[in-house]
Amino acid sequence: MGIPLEEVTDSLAYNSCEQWDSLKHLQMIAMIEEHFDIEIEMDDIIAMENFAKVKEILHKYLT
Amino acid sequence: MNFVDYLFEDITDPEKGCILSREGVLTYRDLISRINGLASYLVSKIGSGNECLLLSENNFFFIVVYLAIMKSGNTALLVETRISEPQLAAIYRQCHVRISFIQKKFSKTAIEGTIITEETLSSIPPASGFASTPTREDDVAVVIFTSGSTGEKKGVMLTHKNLCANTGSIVQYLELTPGDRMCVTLPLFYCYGASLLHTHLRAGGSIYLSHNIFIGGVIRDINTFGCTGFAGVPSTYQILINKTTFLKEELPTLKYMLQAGGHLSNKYIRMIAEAFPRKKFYVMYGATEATARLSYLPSDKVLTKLGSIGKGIPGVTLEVLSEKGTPVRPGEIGEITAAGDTIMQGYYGDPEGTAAVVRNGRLYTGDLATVDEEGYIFIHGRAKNIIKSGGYRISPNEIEEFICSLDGVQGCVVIGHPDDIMGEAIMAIVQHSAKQPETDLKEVILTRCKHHLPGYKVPTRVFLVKEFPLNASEKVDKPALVLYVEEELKKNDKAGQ
Repeated sequence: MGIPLEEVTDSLAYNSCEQWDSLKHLQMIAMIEEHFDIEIEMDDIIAMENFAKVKEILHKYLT
Repeated sequence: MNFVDYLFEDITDPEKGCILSREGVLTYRDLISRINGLASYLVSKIGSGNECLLLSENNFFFIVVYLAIMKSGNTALLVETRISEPQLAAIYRQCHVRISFIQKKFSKTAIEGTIITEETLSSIPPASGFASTPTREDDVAVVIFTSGSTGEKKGVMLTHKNLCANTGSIVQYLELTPGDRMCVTLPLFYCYGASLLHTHLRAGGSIYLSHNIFIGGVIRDINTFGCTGFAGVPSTYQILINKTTFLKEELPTLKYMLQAGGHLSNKYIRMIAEAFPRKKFYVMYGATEATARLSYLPSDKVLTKLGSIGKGIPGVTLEVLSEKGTPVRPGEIGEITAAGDTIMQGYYGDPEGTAAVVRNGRLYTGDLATVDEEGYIFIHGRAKNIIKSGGYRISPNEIEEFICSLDGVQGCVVIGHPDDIMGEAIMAIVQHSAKQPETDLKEVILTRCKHHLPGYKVPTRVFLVKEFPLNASEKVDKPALVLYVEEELKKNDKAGQ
């Protein structure tokens, strides 16, 4: 998304971040799925609304 | 007639909710009084006949501002939210923007002059009445900036007459009523999304602004908000089919679905029509230059005329003309042209560009098509997309359609790539459906193409991708794919040395 690493905090959220739109979200999900070799459920894709949630949900798949 | 007055002309129940979203509900009375308040503010500040720019996602702010600008007799310049700084700066240089309405999260450095955000808008009081500034029917109500083939933005100027004509026609053929509620995910800054707003207001219905991080959320929204209609572009339906439980859902309130904005592969059209036999599924065709909609295929013909864009909507004369300018015979290829009250006034500041596509009030779409014995139109490709390879003029559609029908393939885009010998070589970029594609998928595709297609239509190369890059209209971003192919070919050259 072209966001500097130091700005990627837990509060970084879809609703307030200009670069994070629904298309980027789908691409990000595809990259995460490919990288970790997992398939993320639809409800989880919807719930990943901020960076903290992304980490929390991803953790669930990896443990 | 002022287009906004036309929209609210027949409203009988002002207490009815017309715009629903996570922000709450706006009744017709709320909406109209907010529009009146802002329209009278605009007239007091800048008069009428001026330009106001609007940059916002789908929300109450967008709808109130958009309609108030037109109601005040000014022109709304609509730009996509993903516009780049240089592109936006170019619009400010080219246009005469008096006031900019900007959703706060899209504050960009290119924005000049007076700015009103959703926060400052709240200090402008609503008003119960406002007499619309007299508008002539050929006054420009809105300029929609679309991407031209060169990547530069072209401003399509639409008049009050254009908007009234297209809205009335769509309400008529879709038979919209006050009971209809559209689930809107498409951006309102483009004509397809805007037409959903226009038609449902005109019909006295309502819309729900669905704002999900993932399109799959619409399944829940349609059920929660009792939506009767849903509209998407090809990628909307492809994502719903491939990534969600869409086809297995009942969606009891949903009566009709609309598809426009490009060609959806026949296999997906069939899947939708067969999964929802009791719902109406309309395949449609349009162009910003014609306000929005140009044709539709009646939903009971969706399987018998599979792949057709149907016939012209009421009020539009849609004809496929040969190079001689006469209507084509069945089976013969020609260019789709359109005439009627919905044809744009022209491109902003570009009379030459306008003259190239509108002649004698007729729009030349650049889309190539055939017509069958019963008058149903089938698109074969965009004139500017035609691949010229080995002396042949090749439409990508047939190759794409064939590759899409193969197992393991979710989507396909075929492009021409400069080639020393062939002129252009055919490149197929294939989106695979499995998480890990079969190792021989490329070979299988090429073998099947060789068996099924004439030699000159067989792709030179096949590339596999997991996702297509999409642009702001959620269509496949072809310039990005062209770059991707170039990069991949370079990598291969290096590996081969």
